[in-house]
Amino acid sequence: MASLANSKEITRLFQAGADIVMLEVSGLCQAPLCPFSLDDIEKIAASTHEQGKQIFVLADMTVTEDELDRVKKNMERLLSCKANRIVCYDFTFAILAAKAGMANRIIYAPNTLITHSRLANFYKKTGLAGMVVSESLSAAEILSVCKKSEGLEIGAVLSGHREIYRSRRHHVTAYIAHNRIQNPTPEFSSGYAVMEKQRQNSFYPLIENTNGTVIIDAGMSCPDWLTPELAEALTYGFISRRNIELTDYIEMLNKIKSTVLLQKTGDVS
Amino acid sequence: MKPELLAPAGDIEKARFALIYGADAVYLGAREFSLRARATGFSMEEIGAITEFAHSLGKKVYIACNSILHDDDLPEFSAFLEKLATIPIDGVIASDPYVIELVLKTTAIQVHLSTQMSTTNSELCEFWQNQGVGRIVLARELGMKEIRTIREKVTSELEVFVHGGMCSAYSGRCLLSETMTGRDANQGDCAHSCRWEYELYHDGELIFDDFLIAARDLSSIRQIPELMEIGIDSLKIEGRMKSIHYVATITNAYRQLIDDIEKAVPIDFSKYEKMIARAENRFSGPAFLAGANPEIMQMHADDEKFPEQDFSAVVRGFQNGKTIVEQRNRFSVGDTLELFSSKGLTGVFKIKTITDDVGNTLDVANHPMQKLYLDIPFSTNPYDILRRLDQ
Repeated sequence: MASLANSKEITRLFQAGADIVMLEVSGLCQAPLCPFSLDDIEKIAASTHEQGKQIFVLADMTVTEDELDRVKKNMERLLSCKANRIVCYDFTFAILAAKAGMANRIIYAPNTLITHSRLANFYKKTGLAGMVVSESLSAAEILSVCKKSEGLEIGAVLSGHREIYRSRRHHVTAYIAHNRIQNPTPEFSSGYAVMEKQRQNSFYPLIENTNGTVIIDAGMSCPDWLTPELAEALTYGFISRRNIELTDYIEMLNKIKSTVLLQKTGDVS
Repeated sequence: MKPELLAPAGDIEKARFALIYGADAVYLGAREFSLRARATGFSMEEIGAITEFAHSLGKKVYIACNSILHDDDLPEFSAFLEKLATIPIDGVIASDPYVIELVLKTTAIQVHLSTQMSTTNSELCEFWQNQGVGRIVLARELGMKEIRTIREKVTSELEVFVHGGMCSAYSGRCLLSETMTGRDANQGDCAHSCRWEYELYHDGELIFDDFLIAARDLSSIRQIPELMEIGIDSLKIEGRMKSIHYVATITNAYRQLIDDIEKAVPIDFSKYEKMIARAENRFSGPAFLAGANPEIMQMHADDEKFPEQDFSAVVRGFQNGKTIVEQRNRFSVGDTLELFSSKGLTGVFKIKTITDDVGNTLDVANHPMQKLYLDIPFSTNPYDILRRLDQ
């Protein structure tokens, strides 16, 4: 599965071997300005389905009480679209989908919280389609979760960016206010990165917007832990993308696919 | 409604101090499955002992089982819970849905949903309430208006953090420590990487360096009346890793404030803030409870603060006309000390003599934990605290 930055990339990603594309949609994502609106989703879903491919929508915002009414309205609209799955970070989306009788379109992807196999029983009862395991699990642990989670789709993040920090706080804004710096920019959306002072040359992209601050680890590597057995057991492998060029991204997509396929035929030198 | 004052207990002594200094309940971690890998943790025997002690005072004990479990932990957790259920504790704080289900299914213990689940809205509260959770610890990112709305919509007990160290990120979702050090915050081993100094770059150019993502501690003396008026059931103090002096001082300040509000005594907030300042050494503020003002929520490299107090000794008893104390920080003959007890500040005196436990007269008490004898010109009780005034 590949994530998508704009509509021109859909064809390129499918040609590159993605089975599913994932869209970020405005109003339901942590980044308030996403490339796709709710209006776009229906049209893109229709053309994607014509190609025999699938479309997933990422709804990765943290839903605070003062956002709840707005999110409920947006979620209602999103559920009426034909997206195959909605991938959510906050369980609120699953609750709202369940109330509309559509929990079976939700994949719960809470980055850190799915850490063992017994959780499958709990989330299956809530009617979810699937869940994405924590990024802190080993390959053996992921395999164990897959084997014990019958009836639930299991995903894992294979490569790409991973969010390592999310806060409702506005850190850069705080610094600017503290130091009385004149700053006309309300958002810090691209080109920003932080480096811990003792770890020279380790840069982590930072994004700050109305929802708060996010820091990501944008490392991109072919997962050497992805064995054919694990690839077979997983329903989805997420290759997420942010701050990564499309050509690098496609290269990684192909590398992962070919590595797993070669291993399957025993043709790895 | 008078809310419960809930204080942290990193070990059995801290638990006793918290209860004596005014907490209605304490929360603590067992040696296993708690979210403070570096706190000592309680054995089953200690949990039993502190529960008995708390219940004898009409108070409660909650056990934090909010570490995120992995497959390997599951058999051990079931055995642990079986043992825990034999002790009449008053609640389990959990974040893992499997743990929540297991506790509800196999024991009669009330479940509190940990702040690690980042419960930020009323839909989530209602969901967990319907699962059987009796109390929800709200996310620390919520503002007062949001808390009020949730209270209006939700019938389960609600708990709000009012004081202590803050996660800068949404609790339970942070991978910063793991990324920087390999230490998993979600398994109780946070390296507090958010409190380090970071450089911010834009397109490769250094913009600034600072404690970029470090949160000020939480302190919400001025927000307590509104939280009480809203009807929050429990007000929580963070700090299982903090000292007995911190636990006693902070707990006592909030105890006095809650009681004074309840008695409709005119409130001078600065009085309670001064009490709290005696134990703090980091800048603090009301964070999201007072609206999201970024500047006052964050630590900066040019901030400086030092504790105003000097925790000198703990009273352990009385013998042959002298008070027995246990030394905690250096003090000398001629120093002026104040006596702090569960009733607040109860006296000031100058040290005339210091004697050790074999009868030697000392000029300076400079050995931590040393048992010493002092002449104190008024009555003292075990668990009273001595603080140095003239530094």
